[in-house]
Amino acid sequence: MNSNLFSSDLAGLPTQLAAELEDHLMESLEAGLRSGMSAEEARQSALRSLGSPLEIARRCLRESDPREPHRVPMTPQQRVAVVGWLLLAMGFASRVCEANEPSHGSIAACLGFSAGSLAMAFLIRRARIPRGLAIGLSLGLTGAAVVGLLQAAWHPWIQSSLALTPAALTVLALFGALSGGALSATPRRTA
Amino acid sequence: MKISKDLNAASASAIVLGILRTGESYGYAIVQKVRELSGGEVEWTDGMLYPILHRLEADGLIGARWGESETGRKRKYYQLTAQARPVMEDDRRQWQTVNAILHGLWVTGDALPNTHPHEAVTAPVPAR
Repeated sequence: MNSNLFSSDLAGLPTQLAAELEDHLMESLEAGLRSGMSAEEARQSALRSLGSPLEIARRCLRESDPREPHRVPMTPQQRVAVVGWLLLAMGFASRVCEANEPSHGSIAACLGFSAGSLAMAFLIRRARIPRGLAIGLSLGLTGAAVVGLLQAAWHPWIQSSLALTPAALTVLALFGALSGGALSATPRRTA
Repeated sequence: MKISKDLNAASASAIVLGILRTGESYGYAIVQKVRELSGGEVEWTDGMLYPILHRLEADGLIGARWGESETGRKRKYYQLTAQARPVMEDDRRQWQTVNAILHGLWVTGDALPNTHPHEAVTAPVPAR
């Protein structure tokens, strides 16, 4: 039996996984032929039974990485929250670069948000962020953003020292709340 | 009868390890064995099995070797490792505990020792 029948369906997969799935598909096809199906019917039946080879490959690669046995995929909400934090960090960095003499507070804010976003992304990916720490971090960052927003509204000092606009602080607060929800919903992989 | 997705997912690893306990096997044969053991009641999607196998291999509970099929195709065979035995023993105790609880609730109507009795769902309590 020609094993190239499924080569196009398995194209792009890692070599060993492709070989394993090809063996499965050929067994399934041969069973279909024995039951009286035509070659094309048996081929289609085998592919339907298996499902998407690319999806299987994605899940196998995720499950079989020995370096990170507890790695879990990030939910879309978590991805949005982390990307949001990184974008905010970029926004702050641009304000810092525009300012003639950026304050230490501005520079610290940029570095802090950048490092914080990357750290949160890493911890979420490794599923090792304790729930309490996740909630605490998010509440802390959101609280700081809210305080900054209030100060910007009533105390111009925060604007000059951190080079932030009230609009930027509002966005910051919203992303803080979003990331709090995303972090506290970090899935746990069970043994 | 269709087994729920959650129950399928919860039992899959234990079933795979149990099948491999009887000897080395490969993907397609494992899927067929599940169908045979369940009398066709449990229908795993073929693609569901391979991430489970790869996870068990990454966790060190099963090992794999490449061999050849009867027709000369490359075939990956899986077998249990020594690390699997305590895990399987633990799985067995957990499933037996759950089974005993459900049996007590659904069949005999008896509660577990030292708890309040529950009304039988399927069988009436015999009159004394």
